Amino acid sequence: MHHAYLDKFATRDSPVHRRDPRAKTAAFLALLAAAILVPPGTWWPFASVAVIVVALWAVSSVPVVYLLKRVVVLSPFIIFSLVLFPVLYDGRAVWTARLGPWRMSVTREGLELAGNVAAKFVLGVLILGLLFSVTRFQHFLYALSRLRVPQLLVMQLGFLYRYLFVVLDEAERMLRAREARSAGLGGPRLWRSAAGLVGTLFLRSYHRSQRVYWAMLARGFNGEVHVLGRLRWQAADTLFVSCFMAVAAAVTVCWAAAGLR
Amino acid sequence: MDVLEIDDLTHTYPDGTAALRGVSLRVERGASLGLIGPNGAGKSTLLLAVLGFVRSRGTIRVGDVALSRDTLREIRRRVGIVFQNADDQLFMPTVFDDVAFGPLCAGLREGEVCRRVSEALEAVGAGHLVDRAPYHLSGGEKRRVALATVLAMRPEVVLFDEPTSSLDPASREQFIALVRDLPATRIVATHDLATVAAACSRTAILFEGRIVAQGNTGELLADADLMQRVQLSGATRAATPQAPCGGTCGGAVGPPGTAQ
Repeated sequence: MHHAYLDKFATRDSPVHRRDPRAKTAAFLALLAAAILVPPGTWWPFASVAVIVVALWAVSSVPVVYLLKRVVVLSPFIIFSLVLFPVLYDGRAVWTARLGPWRMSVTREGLELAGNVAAKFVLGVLILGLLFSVTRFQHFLYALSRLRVPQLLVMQLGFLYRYLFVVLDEAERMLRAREARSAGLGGPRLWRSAAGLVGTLFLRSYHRSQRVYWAMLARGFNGEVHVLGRLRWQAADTLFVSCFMAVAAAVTVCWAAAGLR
Repeated sequence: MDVLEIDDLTHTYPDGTAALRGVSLRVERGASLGLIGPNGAGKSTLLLAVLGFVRSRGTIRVGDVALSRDTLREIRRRVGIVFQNADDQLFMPTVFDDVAFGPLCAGLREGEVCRRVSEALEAVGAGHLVDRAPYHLSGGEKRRVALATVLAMRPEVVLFDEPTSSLDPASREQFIALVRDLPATRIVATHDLATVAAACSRTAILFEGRIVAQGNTGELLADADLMQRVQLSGATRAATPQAPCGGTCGGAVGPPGTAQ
């Protein structure tokens, strides 16, 4: 089965694509941090980050539909929060519903929190989507190891990416086999077999990990991961990272200072 | 001196079944040895034992180095293995990274690593795949790249575990030609007799954990009785259908009218 890859646009060319992966990773993560740190109730930092994201997208020649689709596809993860926060968060009621003895209020603070989470979600997905559309995944991993992320973590990310699609293929085959034998019936029988499927997938992955480990040992692995540095840092990369760090810092300092006053 | 000597190798599975019962084998330098046997004969176990991945009794010697806990690294530097499932062997994000993995672990410098990677990929005819992700490769391409990852370490002996399984005929012929032309000593464990006939001059037969015959490939394969005895020929075993419930099922299997 052909899977969509995380970095399928990363082989295109643009001024952003050409930057060193370390510069791109550091810059995008700084931008992400600037968005995530914003407290509820403040909205202009989100607008600033959004402007930068749009500018990046415009320069990078990544299709906008692709980026927006990712936001839509991932949104189920936060739908619950967005629905529950306005109702569960205490504060000034903006709208109240009554049903017999029960009352449910939508609060202003709850709405602000929900909006805050929604903005961070959308911006986060767009920033990361852009990062992986301008950086090949293995270069991203290399950048992480150069940014002093623990090697074990970087390796695990690499293995996850490498074998995720293998496991998905196995799952697809097992589901197909189950469908072929279920005579079109559904219901509780299928749900019960889901546990068996997951268990089998886990066992297979476990045994595969044993064989991969043997393959690594057979080629001399001794615990240390070596990465070949085949990248060249340029002046444009320094400029790129500095600009982003400066903007991220400026935005954060501004709302922090405004909050303190 | 023989490049590989195995003496009285014994290994028992955790559940008590004997996998290898006193296997002894000698392989000359530069030889191409086929190791054939039915499923479950212990071929893969034997290959894994040579590299110290399964604990076994007996002696294994590669050149002048005997296998022990201290010599594992040296043995694995001299002996390479191409596993049955290429996906297990290609675990890095790109082909280049996979082929470079061995030389990098050996501590070679960047220039030498790049040189070995190009050499190994050219040797298997996969130079154009250098920047691809392993997941996107076809079965034959994966197999060749897996071989390249081993060749990059310049081993003295290369072990192959079912190298042509799940390959289409064209890929299979290509791979057999690759195996045949390698300068290293080769041991090819397989139950595909056509592969052995094409790639190996000598053959050993492993049956129920023992080496039951060794010799010239052509002679061994031509011995029909021997092949049947070790369950390697598509022999006619006139099996009488036995109903699992002692004959009282009423012959439910099969189209109407057939006697069961």
